Amino acid sequence: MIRDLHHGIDLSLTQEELEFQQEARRWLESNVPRTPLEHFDSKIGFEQHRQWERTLFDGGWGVVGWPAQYGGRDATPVQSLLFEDEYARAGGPVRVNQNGLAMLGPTLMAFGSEDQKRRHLPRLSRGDEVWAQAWSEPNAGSDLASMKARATRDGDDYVLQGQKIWVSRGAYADWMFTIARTDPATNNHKGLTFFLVPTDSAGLARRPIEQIDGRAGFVEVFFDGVRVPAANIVGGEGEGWRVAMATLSFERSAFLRPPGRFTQVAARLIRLARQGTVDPALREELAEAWAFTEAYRLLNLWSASNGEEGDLSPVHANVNKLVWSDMDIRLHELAVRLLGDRAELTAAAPEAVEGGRWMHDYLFSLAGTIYAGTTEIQRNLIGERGLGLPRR
Amino acid sequence: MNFRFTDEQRLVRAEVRSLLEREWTAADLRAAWTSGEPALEIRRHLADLGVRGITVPERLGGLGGDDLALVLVLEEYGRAAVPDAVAVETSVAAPMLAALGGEAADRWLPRVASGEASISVGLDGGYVADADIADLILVLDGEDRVVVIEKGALDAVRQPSFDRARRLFSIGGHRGVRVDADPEVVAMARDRARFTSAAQLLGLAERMLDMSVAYAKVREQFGQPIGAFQAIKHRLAEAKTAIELARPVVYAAAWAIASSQPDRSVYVSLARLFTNRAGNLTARQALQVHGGIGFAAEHDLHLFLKRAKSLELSSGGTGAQLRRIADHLQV
Repeated sequence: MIRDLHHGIDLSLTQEELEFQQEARRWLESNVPRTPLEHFDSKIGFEQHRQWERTLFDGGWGVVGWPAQYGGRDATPVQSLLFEDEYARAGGPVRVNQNGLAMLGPTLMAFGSEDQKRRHLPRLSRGDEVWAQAWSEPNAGSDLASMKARATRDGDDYVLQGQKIWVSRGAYADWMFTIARTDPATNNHKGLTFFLVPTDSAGLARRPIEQIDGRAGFVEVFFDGVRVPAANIVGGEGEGWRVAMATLSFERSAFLRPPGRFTQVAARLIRLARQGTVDPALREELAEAWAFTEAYRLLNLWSASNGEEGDLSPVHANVNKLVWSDMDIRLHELAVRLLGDRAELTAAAPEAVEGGRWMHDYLFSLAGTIYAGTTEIQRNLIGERGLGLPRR
Repeated sequence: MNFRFTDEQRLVRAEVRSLLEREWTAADLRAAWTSGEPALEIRRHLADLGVRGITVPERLGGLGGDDLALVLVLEEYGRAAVPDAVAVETSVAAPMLAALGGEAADRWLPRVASGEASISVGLDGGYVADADIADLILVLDGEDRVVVIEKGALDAVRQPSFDRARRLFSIGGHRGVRVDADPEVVAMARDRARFTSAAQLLGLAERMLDMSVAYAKVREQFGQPIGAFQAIKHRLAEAKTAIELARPVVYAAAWAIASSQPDRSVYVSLARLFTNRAGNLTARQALQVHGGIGFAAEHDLHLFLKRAKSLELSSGGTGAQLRRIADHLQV
C-alpha cells in the first residue's frame, strides 16, 4: 500500500542557487573582455586566453566545481551548470585550458601522486600550465589501444619514441598528457602507461595541421628520444588504459559541452530567423532545433541531480556526447540554410553575416561526431555497456 | 533545484512494475485483444494497490498525489501496455473532476479510488476509451465548459482501433449536463492528456527496446548473436539514446504541470515531441531487429508497436507540438 508521495523534484532554483547565479552573473558582466580576444590558434591569442584564465581563477571562477583545496568553490554539479549557463550568456572566451581543466585535473585528483597534484593542479587551474591531449596516432584512432608509441625505461627516466596526431591546442600548450606502450610484448590496452610531458622537452617536435575550417587547430607531435622522469607517470606503469578511460569519462560529461553553449546558439539562430520571413517548413525545424537545446539542458540537470545511486544511466556520458554532437550540426545546418547564398561569405566579404561565423561554426560542428570518441564508438559503448549486447 | 525522485516514488514504481509483471503480462494483453472485453481485472488489482486513487484528494479517499507522484506509474502502464483508459482516468479525469468539485466529485471520486467505479474523458472531438463501462464521462465542450455524462446517458458508437486493446468509442447523442468550468481547468486537462501519452510512450519505448535487446542476444546468424553486429547494435543504441533524452523531458513536464509553471504547455509539447521521437524510432528499430518474426501477429511486438503509434498520433501528433513550440518562440 502506498502512503507518502510528497514530490521531491523541483526545477526552480533555491535561494542559494539564485545567489550563486547572481554572483556569477555580476562578476562575468564586469570582467568578460568587451572586445573579443584573438583566436587561441595564434601566439598572441593563446597568451590572451591564458591571461583570461588567470583573471577567472583570481576572481574565484576558474574551477568552480573543484574542491576548495585546489582553488575551487566546491560548487554542486547543478551550480557548475548554472555557472556555465552564465558564462555562455556573458559570451565568455573559449576555455583554452579545457583539456587540462576538464580532463587532466579530475584525472590527477583520482590517480595522481601527491607530488603531481601539488605541482600541477594549482598551475593548471590558473592557466600557468596549459595542457594538450596527445593520444591518437596515425594508425590508432578509434582503435586507440593499438597505439605504437613506445616508452623505454632508462635509469630514472623513460625514453619516448613515436608519433601522435590531432593534438588540439598542441601548438602553444606547455604540457601534454600522453600514453605510450611500456610493455613491448603487448599490442592492446595492456602494457600502456600515462605520461605527463613538457612540450619544450628535447626531441619533441610539433607540426601544425590546417583544419577544414581554416584554423591551425591541431598539431602532429613527434617524440624522438624524449626523456620523461618516471615521476611523471600517472597511476603507475601499465595502468595507462584504466587511467585513460577515466579521463574520457570526464571528457564526455557536461563540462566539455555545457548546455548554455547551445542555448546561446539557439537564441542566435532564432534572432537570425526573425530577421527575415521564415519558410513555414523551416519554422517546424527551428522549433525542433530549439527543442533539442531544451532537452539537452534537462538531460544535464538530470545527470547533475542523479548520482550513481540515483536514476542515472551507466552510459549517460555516451548518450550526452551523441546528443550534443548531433544537435550542434542540426543547429548550424539550419542556420546556413536560412542564410542561403550569404552563408558562404567569409569575414572578408562586405555582405558577410556575423563575420561568416555561422559557416565557420557549421564546419567545426561537423568535427563533433569525430573527436572525443566517434559516434560509432559511442554507439558501441552504449550497446555493450548500456544494453549488454555481445562484443564482436 | 532537485531533479531526483524520492525513494517512495521509486518504490511505488517498483511495486507497480512487479504487479503488472504478474497480472498484466503480454498474454493478458493478447487476451484483451482477442476478447474485445474491458480489462476489469487489472483495474481491480491497481485499485487494491492504491494507485487508482493517487490523484484523488485525501478527503475523498485518495492519496492526494500530483503529477510527479504519478509519472513513474504512467511510465509503467506504458511499459506493460495497460489499456490507456486506465492511465487517462488517474492522470486526466480524476484531477479534472476534483477541480470541478461539487456533488459529482464527492460521489464518484471515492469510488474511483476504491475501484468500484471508473471515469473517463472526451477531448475536443477525440474518441473516448472504454466509454461503455465508464460510470461518468467528462467531455470538454469549448474553452470553459464541460459536459458531464453519467452512465446510460449516451449513445457510444464503437470505433474499432488497430490496437484492439484500445476500446474506442465516439459519442453520438447524450443526455449529459453542461457545467461552466474555469478555463484553467480545461486547459490543464488538455495538457495532462498530452502528458499522459508522453509518459506512457516512454515506458512503451523502453519495453520495445528491452524485447529487441533480449532477441538480439539469442538470435544467431552468420554464426553469432545478431546483437554483436554493429549494424544491429547501433540501431539499438540509437533507440536507447532517444529514450534517455526523452526521459528527463517527461519528468520535467510532470513538474511543470504539478507546479503550474507558466510555460507548462511548452514543457508538455517538449515531452510529447521527444517521446514521439523515441517511440517511433524504437518501434522501427525493434521491428527491423526482430525481422520477419516481428511482423508476425503471433509475436508480441506489434501489441506494443501499435499502442505506441496510437499515442504518438494522439492530440495532433508531432506537428501540433512543433507548431506550439514555434508559436512560443515567435518565429
